[in-house]
Amino acid sequence: METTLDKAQVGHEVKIQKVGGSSAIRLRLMHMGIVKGATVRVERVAPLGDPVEITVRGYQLAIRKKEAALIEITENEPQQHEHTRAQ
Amino acid sequence: MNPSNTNIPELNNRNTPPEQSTADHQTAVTPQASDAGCEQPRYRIAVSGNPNAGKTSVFNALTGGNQTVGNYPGVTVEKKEGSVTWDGDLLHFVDLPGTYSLTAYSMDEIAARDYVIEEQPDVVIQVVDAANLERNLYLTTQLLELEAPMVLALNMVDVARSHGTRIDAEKLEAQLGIPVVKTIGNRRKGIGELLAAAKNTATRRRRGENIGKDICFDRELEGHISALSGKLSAEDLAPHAASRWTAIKLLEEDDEVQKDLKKRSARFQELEETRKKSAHDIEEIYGDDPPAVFAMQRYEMCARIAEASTSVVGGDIRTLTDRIDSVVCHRIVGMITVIACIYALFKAVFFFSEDFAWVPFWHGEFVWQTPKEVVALLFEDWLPMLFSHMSDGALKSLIQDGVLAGVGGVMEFAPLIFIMFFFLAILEDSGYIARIAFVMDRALYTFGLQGKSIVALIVSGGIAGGCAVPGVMATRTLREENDRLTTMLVTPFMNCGAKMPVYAILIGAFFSAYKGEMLLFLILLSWSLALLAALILRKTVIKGEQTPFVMEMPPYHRPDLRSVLYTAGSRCWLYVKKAGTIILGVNVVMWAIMYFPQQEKKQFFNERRHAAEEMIQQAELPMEHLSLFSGENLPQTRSYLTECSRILRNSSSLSQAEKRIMKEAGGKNNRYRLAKNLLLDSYKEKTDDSSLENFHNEMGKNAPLQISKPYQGFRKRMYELDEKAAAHQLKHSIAGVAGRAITPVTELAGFEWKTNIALIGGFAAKEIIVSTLGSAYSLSAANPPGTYKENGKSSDSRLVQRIRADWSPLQAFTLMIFVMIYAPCVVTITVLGREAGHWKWALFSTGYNTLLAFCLAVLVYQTGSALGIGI
Repeated sequence: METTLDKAQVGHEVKIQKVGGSSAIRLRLMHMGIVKGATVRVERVAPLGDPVEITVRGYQLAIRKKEAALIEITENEPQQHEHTRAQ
Repeated sequence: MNPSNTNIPELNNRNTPPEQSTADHQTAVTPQASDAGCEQPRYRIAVSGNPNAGKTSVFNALTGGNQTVGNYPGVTVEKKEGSVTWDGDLLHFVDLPGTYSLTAYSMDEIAARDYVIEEQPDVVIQVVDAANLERNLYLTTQLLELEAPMVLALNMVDVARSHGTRIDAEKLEAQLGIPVVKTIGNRRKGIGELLAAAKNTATRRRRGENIGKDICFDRELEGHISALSGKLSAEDLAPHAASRWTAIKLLEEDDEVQKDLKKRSARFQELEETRKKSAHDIEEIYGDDPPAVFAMQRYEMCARIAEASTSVVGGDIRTLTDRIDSVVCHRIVGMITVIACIYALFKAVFFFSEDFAWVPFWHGEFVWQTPKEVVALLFEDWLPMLFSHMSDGALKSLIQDGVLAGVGGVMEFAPLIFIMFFFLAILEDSGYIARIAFVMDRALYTFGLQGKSIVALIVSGGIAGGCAVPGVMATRTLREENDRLTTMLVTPFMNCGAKMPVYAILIGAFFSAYKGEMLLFLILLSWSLALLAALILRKTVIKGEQTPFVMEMPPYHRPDLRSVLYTAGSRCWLYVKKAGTIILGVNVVMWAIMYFPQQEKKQFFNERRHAAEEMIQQAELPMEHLSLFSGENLPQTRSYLTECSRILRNSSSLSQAEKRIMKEAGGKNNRYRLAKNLLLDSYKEKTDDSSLENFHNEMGKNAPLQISKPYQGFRKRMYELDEKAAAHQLKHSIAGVAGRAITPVTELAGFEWKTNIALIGGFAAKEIIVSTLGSAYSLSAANPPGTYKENGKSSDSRLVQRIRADWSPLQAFTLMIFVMIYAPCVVTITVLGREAGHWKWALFSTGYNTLLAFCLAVLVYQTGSALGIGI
């Protein structure tokens, strides 16, 4: 199922398809490891609904939904027991 | 999808370059000039790393306590340096800013890579978080592209191991071609090995050996890289920059490198053509633009290296960090925790610097003092005392009221800044500050700020009574430049502790029935204005895309006390050193505009004489007493009277007192005798020789002035005349003239010249608004050296009475709003200019705040007047 990262549900593991947005934003995201093919897991949403915390490349990252909406993903089935957290 | 995607990027040994000879970009390595005097460091070592990789603790462990803090040239990026002699060699360390990458998108990253290219350090140590190897290696690949002679400090191996990750340093070493040393920075483990590896690498580098492997992309990209780098001639390159790195950066569309090339090369157009062609090809093949392809291939490489050198021994663990986060990021509990935590930070900062006496101090006797009191004692009591024997005049006033008050004004903030950074560093080091940002971000993001801004706003006085100076400095935790600048510019709206006395006086005078409501209103108003201003600034002055908020949520860990103290200490010192001189200068200027031109004192001498004559007649004293009160004799008479009353208080009988006074009189003139009689005669009327002690016990310490009518009248009269003289001086000083000159304008907001002077004074420090206002109203001298304090009546309550008589509630209300918003004090402005990296921001802050304050004040005053509210 193709969608964007801001719509992914907490606990779901997704695969990055494309990073959009202006070059500054894209580069920033990509240098943090959000590149095509990377696996990302949505950990939690902040109390006020934004930003979201994700796990990528074994570490945790908070990004705003506005930026998450620029990241195209395909959603895998939820994998409750496969924690990718390195910490 | 694409055939060429099967080309896996790989690392190639630099000694066997894949295609194009790498020899040309290695030739830049020349031994450092060795005209070294004994102070010239033998090796220069840069320390780099991701944020949260434990770089600070490794740097501290490497340098010991020997470090200085400054800024990288032209930018506000903090630069720490330290030297240490190890194994007979002087090693000089430079702490590069913590970065995830080396792009041209942030000042930190540019500063880091420029240092590596331009300064050509002998070794670059990268501190790597062992528990987070893959992402940390991303920076490694870029440092290798820069052809920096690297050593990897594999840090926090203990944490990694506790999470079940074991890293094989030798395998890592083999893959990267650089030495890898395991360290635990906060326990100072592995530091000796790290130093040895660094020194060894430096020696090898100086022998001309290549260190590290070339990081190679897939065949397709490498083809484009060598095509472009082959066209780059020596004059196209920045000094020391390698052609391969330049080619990669050009393909990655790096702004800085592109700009540099345009400046440098006559063949820019031709090279640009080549680049465009490559970019086009790359996009065609990968379906993505070159920056994305480069990033992706680098990460592929990092993943491969990390995987090959890591063995996972533990199982699946839901870690402590995750468990804590499920509580502190919880919908309700999370909000409460954050607010409680910031409130506690705020309370703790002001508690330890202003309320809690925890510093041992010698002040006649051994006492516990608060840091603020210690500074006040030093600069208001002790040091001025050293100059108290100087004769009155411009020099004495300059030293006491200009320089010492200025230095005191600077130092007053030092404990505050130290303690604020102490707690802030704990929050930062533990990882909790990222959670504050996470929880609060949504609320502030709407206004062009971000989650971490909240800390700066609260410290500045978001809860009434903070200080914008540490507030502005607290924005150092914000990594996004625009967010940081916006936050900085709105912190002065908050109600800092120095605005409180103004509110207290005005609320006390006019709104005492609604004290709480009024204060709450002011707090809410300052928040609304700050947020609104942020929003507007973001749309106008600080344009540009809001930087994406991409923030690592590091795992929690126990703060390293030593690192925390270093951070607090060094930032505090930076403030004193850099801001201090400017603030001192402005204080001296402020002193001068209130001191000059000095007014002729003659008319006050005459008035005094007049007053003295009246008094002598009333008290039926012999006319010879008049000489006591003639203008030039006054100061001496005062000291005589003070001395006599002191002796009287300390004597057991009148005759003893008289004897002692006479003994003191040796060498003193006739007026001393008169002054003595003035007091003794009143005593003799009230008491006899034997009961002096009882008399004093009954009358208390102030006996001499209570019984001596003429003395009492004299003191009161002289005090009033002093106030009058000070008011006269102030009125005709440069500040006074300016204050009166702008009255036609300020009257629109209901401010008269006295208010204007006070507001001009408040520019130096908001604390002095009230005292200057008092001076202007002839209520007490601005800085009374040896003035007699009136008994029982504080000048504040007299000021309240005068203001109540003179002003309307509307004027008072307008003034409160103006004081809340107008130009921040000199200290804040100076710190703001420094932190923002350009003095234009200091000017801007002064200007826009004052303008806004004035417009709002006029609006309120005129509306109020028109509607007849509070006149």
